Amino acid sequence: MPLFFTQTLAILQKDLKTEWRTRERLSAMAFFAFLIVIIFNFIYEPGSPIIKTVAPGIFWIATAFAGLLGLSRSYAIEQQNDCLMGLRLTPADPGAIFLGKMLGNTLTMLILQALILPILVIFLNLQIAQALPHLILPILLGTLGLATIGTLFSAMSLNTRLREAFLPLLTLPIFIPALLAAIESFRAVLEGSEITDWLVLSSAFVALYIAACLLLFEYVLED
Amino acid sequence: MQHLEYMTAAYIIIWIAILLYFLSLSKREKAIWEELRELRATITKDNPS
Amino acid sequence: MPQRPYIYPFVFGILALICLTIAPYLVFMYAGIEKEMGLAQKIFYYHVPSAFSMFLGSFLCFIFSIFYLWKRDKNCDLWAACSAEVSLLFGTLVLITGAIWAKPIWGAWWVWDAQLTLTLILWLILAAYHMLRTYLEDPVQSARFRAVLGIIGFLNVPFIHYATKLWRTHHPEVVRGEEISLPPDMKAAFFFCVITFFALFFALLFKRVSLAKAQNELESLKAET
Repeated sequence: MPLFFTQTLAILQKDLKTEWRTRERLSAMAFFAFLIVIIFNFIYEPGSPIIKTVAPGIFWIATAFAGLLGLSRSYAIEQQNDCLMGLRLTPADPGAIFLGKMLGNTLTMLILQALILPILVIFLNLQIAQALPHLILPILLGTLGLATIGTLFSAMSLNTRLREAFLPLLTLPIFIPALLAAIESFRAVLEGSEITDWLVLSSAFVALYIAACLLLFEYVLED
Repeated sequence: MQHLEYMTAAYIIIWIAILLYFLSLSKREKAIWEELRELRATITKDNPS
Repeated sequence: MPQRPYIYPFVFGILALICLTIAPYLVFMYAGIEKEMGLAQKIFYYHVPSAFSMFLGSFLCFIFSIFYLWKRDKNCDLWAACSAEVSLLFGTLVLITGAIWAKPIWGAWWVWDAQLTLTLILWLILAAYHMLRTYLEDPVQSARFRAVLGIIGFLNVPFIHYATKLWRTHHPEVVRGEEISLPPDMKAAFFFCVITFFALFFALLFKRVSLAKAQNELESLKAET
């Protein structure tokens, strides 16, 4: 199996390198997420206590929507200069290609979250300093879940007539349980209550879907 | 006879929806078979073998 | 000239029709009227079997999707797509009757009850499946993608079930009435309705498949000429 992981790492490295050269995708995502956080503030009265209960929701909506924006570009960049064909021709295992891309997307989204969390704290006046260590695991699991199904579907949506615009329609319905788990565990951490059940749910979600996508990605990539 | 109107509404909606779906399937299928028959007729007319 | 594959839709159609003449008798005459919910409880006899048909349809779609990717048999894809479509129809009925049920019993058209939410999310996945089918052009690729979505979508069911259950226990404002064990007359009527709806489901499914087969035949004939 070491070959599989070398291939995964190679794909991951390539994706991160192309992303880092321009930082186009990340800056668009970050700006979009920032806009979502700002716009959500207009829904409620300023300083209303509701904001504290909806903050986890705002955080995850911003992540999911901005994340989808980034995910939709994840294969669009491969279409230039027939890079996708090149990827198909490499002796790499399709599962390794999937895993590499998925990890790349996860990292990008984690960076995005690291950027919007402070913004959320400032604009919504949240106190999360103590809760922060407990937040890491649920956020990581939720992001992995989104990246897994998003990476699989972004390859599919490119071939539809709507192209990238089709991605959210496929990803969001499947993502709902993990999104629910992510939002609820965020809220539970802020309230200081138990989150084990939600963590079990999201870890099972991530594990099953990574396994399923490793098997199914071959059929998506096939020409 | 409590809630008669809700019950009637539910039952009517179910039956109408299923009936409409079934009718639309039959109609589409019939049209296709019609077209197939015509197409086959023209094919056999063009090359009588 | 190939015969139309009429026999299965016909058999199940007749079965469904026979059941449909008996079911109303059992529902209205044989089964008693529930004291608290009144006649609205009768919606249950059609609402729950529709939900069962919906789950049966998505399960069939899942199985056929796996078989398609495994065997690459075009027929498996056709069956998967057709079961998803019929399942979508029953899902729509479940949601509509659910709303009609909720209004008199809970006073609102929609309550975020765990089972209804599960149905709603599954319905969304089926709708996405349907949309994917209409937005793809290359037929072979489309079949492959559909199969992938069929598998991924059905795998989601346990997660949605667990998530909505957890979610609802965390927000106990809306509580579904305690699970009442049905009296025997209602149980009998209910089981009969389940059989009726399964017969109806298969009748519609076979009909849908025969339409899809006819469409394929027409397309291949057009491609030849």
